[in-house]
Amino acid sequence: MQRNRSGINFDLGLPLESEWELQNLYIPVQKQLLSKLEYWLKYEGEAIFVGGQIGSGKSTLIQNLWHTSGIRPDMEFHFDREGSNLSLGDFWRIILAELIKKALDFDADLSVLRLPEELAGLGYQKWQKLLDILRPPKISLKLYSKRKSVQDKIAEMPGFIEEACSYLLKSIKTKITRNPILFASGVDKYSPDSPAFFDLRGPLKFLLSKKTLFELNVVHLFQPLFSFESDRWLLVYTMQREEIRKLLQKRMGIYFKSENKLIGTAMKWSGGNPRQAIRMLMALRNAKGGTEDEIIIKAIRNLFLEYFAYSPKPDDDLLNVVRKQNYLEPTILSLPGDKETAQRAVYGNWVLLQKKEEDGRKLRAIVNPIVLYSVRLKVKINDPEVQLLRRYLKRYAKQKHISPVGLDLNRDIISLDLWREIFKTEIEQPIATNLVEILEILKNSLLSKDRAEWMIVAYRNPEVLEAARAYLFAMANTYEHQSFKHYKIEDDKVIPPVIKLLELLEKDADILSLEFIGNKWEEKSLIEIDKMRDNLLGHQMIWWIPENSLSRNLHFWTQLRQLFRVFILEDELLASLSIEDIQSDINYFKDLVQKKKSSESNVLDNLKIVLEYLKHAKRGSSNG
Amino acid sequence: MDRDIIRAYLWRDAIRLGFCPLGSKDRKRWLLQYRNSLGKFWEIGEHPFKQPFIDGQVKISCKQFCIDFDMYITGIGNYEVHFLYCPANKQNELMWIHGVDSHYFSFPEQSFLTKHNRRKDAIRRMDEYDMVAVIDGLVCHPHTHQHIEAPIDQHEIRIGGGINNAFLFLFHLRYQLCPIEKKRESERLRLINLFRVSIEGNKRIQPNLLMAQPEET
Repeated sequence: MQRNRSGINFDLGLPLESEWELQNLYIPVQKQLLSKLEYWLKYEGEAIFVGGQIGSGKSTLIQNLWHTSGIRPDMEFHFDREGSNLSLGDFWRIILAELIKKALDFDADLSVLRLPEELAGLGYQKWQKLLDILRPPKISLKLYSKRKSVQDKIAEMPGFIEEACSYLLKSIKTKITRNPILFASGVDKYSPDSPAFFDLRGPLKFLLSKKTLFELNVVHLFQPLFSFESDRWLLVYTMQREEIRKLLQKRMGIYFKSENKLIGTAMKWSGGNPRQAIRMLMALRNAKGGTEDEIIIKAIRNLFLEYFAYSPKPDDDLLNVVRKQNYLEPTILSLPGDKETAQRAVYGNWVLLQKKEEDGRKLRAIVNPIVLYSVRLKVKINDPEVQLLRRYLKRYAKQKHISPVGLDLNRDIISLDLWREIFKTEIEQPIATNLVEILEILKNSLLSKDRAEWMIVAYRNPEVLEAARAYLFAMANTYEHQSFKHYKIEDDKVIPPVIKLLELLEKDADILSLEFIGNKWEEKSLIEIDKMRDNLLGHQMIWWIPENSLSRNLHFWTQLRQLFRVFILEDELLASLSIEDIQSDINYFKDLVQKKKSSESNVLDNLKIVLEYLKHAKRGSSNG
Repeated sequence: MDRDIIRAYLWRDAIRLGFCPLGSKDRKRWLLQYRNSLGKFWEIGEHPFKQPFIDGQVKISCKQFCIDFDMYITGIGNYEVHFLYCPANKQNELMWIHGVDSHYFSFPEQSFLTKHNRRKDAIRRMDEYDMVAVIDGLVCHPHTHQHIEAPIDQHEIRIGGGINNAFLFLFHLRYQLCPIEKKRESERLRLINLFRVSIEGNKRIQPNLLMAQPEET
């Protein structure tokens, strides 16, 4: 980007990259992080994660690392520079292209591989031609069609491509006689519940076992994929006020004195986020006319529209809790990604993370000042009974050393009966309802009439799916007044699935739940379903799809990819529960199931199935 | 030939070749180039214009000095500039109006020079100091000027009070309202060179050349 040498340098959020930018516009903050990264760069061999919120300065910190250390990564994988709506084939293609390029640069031995012939029908060892297809040097229809066809092949056999990539990397390592330094950037642009992030998991897993620097949004660090020891995480928090002031002064260049007052105002409303500070100063300068207060109000309104108008709003309760307590617990970031949880708030910068408390259990946080001003947060007035139950919940949270935020009650008054039953035992012993809580949150997210999104639930184990779903459906139909219908749909040759889907859309239901039967659907059927995007818009839907076939489906669902959010059932359940929690839940429910047959005992039977599965899965993952 | 006479011819030529666009098309072209150049020249990262150009109106918002300049041009030698005080927290308040009205008599320098008829001789005899003196007097350090009291402490900023050509007035604002010392110096050298070549060849300066950015030093 062309910069003004002495004057004003505003931009809409680009990281500082060039030597001049880093020398003249960079504020030397996060010094500890920088020295940790330099140490990693020189002496360590494992993956490391730089996480931060949008506009917190992650990219600039990383650029500064390359600049100060004088070491550049051997390979860079930019997952955000090849357009939008990328899928599995794109992500593996990005990795493969970079590896081939470097293998050619280093003259590495590629004789064992026959990718040019196998992927693109090229001659023996025509690696440069394959690279030109994977990463076209010019835009042409011919190259685009070739790339599309190679990409389709890549998406069909990700396992093979992963092996080929491993071989390429090994050859490069042999040539350069050290661990190559890899840099995975742009992962932070993918929301954890987006279909694209689901597709990205495979390529990321490949990079996780290498010496890779990952640039992530802070919410990604709480995904099961990145569940590493916290010493691998480097979090970029908000900046101090004075640091923000210095940053804005540098951005104003020779004009900083003339805008000193506005700099102070922008600093105050930045919440410590450097990008927000710059945007606020721009908004203030552009908001002309009126009193000082009126100018600030105009600027805030503009910034709110720009940042938050199209960003899904987290629940008011969460924002209220953060406002009062000024902290978030990392555990609640692992809870399922629905409106009740903190993920949405952190990913969208509704809440700004300031720093980790010394005991490591809490993150200091504030509600973004722009949000606090612009949104009237609802404070719920409850009847005394609800307040009493909430007090119990808080006590329970305290006993279990967990956050009270994710433990709110179902809003529907009818559910109080069940809660009352559960809390009867509260006085004698701690209540074991972790799984119920998580399923409640999932239910609120999946089965709420207010929800505007379309959801795909991916699952690994059909048995746990059945059990969890039975529980969710039972709860949904018991406590919420909504018509909810579930159907199975398969790739039938007699009645094509698209016809079946059209029929189902005619059904009178608030929520339509579809289970996709079978692992390998015909390409034609998937493409036809993709074309139905506009027909789906007026319907609230949940699609249940086996995890191992979802990647292939998403590859053909170019349109639908943009519509759906993805849950991975087991990950959502596992991320929040410890083995102790699960065992404690099982013990608790054992006693209850002994009671006579009833609808409650059916629900509890299902819970038990889920718990047993989770217990095994958790043991398996901790052993492995 | 007297140095002042030589400089008088250079002065007149500089205005004629750089600041007298002929006809409405040329004027629009000149103003368009001016518009495109200003933000970059001041390094403020945006166009400082309050509104798109309307024929005969140029409204510049110079936030860094808390001044708006609303200029109404009815002819090359007829214009008004409204100086408006505009701190961020207040609506515009009028400070003063600078008016140039050619219907009233002023010293007829053009007639004297035409009658004297020694242009060619003057051009042949000019030296490097003559061009420097002319560019300083026209743009970089006008003989009659006002300093502005601004948040940026720059005594170097001088708003020319005796400029009766509307386009020259606009152009001198471009130079004067740029507080970047190095840029001012390289722009001064660029203008000296540009006008010397143009006057020697007696060729009009195309607006894109006049509004070009000086080389970074």
